[in-house]
Amino acid sequence: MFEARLGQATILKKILDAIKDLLNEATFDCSDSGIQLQAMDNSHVSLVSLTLRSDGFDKFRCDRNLSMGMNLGSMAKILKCANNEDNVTMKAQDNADTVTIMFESANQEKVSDYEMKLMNLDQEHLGIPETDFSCVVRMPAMEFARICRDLAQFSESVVICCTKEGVKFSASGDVGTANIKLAQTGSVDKEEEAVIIEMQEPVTLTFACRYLNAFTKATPLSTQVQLSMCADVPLVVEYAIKDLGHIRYYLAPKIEDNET
Amino acid sequence: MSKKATRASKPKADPDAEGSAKMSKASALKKVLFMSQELLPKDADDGHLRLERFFHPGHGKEALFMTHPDGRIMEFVEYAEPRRSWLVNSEVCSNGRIYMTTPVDPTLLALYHLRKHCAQKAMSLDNIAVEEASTSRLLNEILDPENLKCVADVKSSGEQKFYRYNQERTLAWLALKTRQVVRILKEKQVHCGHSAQSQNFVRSEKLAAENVSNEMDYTRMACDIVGRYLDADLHGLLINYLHIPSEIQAIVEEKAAAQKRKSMAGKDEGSDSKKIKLNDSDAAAKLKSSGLVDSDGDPNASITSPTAAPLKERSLTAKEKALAKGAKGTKSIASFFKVK
Repeated sequence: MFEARLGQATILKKILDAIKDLLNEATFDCSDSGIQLQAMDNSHVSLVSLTLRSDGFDKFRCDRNLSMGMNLGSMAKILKCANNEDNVTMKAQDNADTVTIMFESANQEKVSDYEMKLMNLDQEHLGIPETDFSCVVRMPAMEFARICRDLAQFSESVVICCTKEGVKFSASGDVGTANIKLAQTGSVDKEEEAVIIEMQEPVTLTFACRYLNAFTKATPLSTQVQLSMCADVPLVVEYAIKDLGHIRYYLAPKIEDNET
Repeated sequence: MSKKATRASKPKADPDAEGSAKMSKASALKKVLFMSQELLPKDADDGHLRLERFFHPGHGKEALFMTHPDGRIMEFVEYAEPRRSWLVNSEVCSNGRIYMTTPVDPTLLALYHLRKHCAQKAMSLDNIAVEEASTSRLLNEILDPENLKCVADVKSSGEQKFYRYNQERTLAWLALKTRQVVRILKEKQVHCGHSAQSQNFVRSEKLAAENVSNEMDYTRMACDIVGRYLDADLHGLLINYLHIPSEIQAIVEEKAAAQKRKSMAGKDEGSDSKKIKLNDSDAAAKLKSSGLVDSDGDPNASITSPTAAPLKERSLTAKEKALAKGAKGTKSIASFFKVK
């Protein structure tokens, strides 16, 4: 028996919105430590890793490890039926081929439940090695989303260059070139507005802009985003989900000399 | 199925005296019955055609059968239309149904009783269902015990013969029957696909060759025909035995095949590609009506059952195509992270 209850459906909605553009279907691996999801996009260029800790749920019970393959489009459709303030409960029997998603309004006056068929997905899990990143940048998630959106107008790829002075995002294309520089904030008044750079050595990497834009669908989940970079290693874009876990996107760098 | 339908027997006024005998047992006063001339007893034969009720396994209740003095048994097939009545001579016959006779293998009817009584122990025919007059008449007078060895183990001790129901034998025999029906269906060129097709619509030979339904459609149809004379569970067993996939599954597969055909037709241009397109949307409409899929979105995306193979053939949305395009020039993530 698996049962997980969250106080607010809106969090789950945001999580689904954050991954459903990249993934059509994915397996939710449930264990007593929480829910894990790991999947590559169709082009096998990026990897999504979602961790929801059991202690972040209002109620969490998982007697046996359970893998639930879901069509994320269908799941998102079901979550659209929930009000943001509703309680949401996911339930499944051991070895079940369906999952039940139940929404309860705050005053318990409305209870709706939806049953969704599960899928058999044979996905292999990738082992992600520990990396000492050369640069770790923390910045407001909104700012990052804005930068990715703006630069996407210029080019398919974005160069991220991180130095002592700050982090520079640039793109060049037919229209011209665009450069956005962010300096480390001097005084940290509000943590969520700060740009913090931890650098061991400077690094310059090129990434596909569309993917970065797809990652920014997770912006509503968190005020801050963390970019971790190292030469010839995938970029890690991490959004923390308050009290619950985090969602990490890995994106392989573009091979140089391919784009002007 | 009946060999011919010579209109021979009519109520009372008809010179054939049998008519009246029949009428006396039937529920309505008069019925109109089509039957083959040769079934009518020769003038003053001793035997009479009799209308009798036997248990019909396919209907799950008793049904009317006609028995011939020589042991043949015929099922009544009824064609009922609302608001129809017959005018027989100067009388109105309010029962406007048409009845036809079609020969039935009594073994099929006996099978039900064998399954019911002789599944565990062998019994002689006259000991089965002694209290039911119709059943014992069926088993002892009409049925040819020789045929029972197709569905039962026969043990004899002296004169007595005992029968015990044998499932493997039964299924093999039913499969044989099904194959015979398949042959006839093919011979008569009965269309057995999922879609309806006009028989008198003249199609070009090429198209006809393309649209032939596959072997499985024939088998399914034949199995359904045979299944009409069987208990529901035995019919299910027969379906499993013949490995017939469910119709919904078949439609899904057909849809996939139609897609393939479409892409093939695109290559060698030609006028019939239009027809095939129709065919394709047809299958999609059927999928929709079968309640398998949501009405919006592309039909395949929401089939979540693991059996639905065509999922992979789903065409990409514009968003996905854009993402795939964006991925160009990027290394695969799998080259950095190894499979656990």
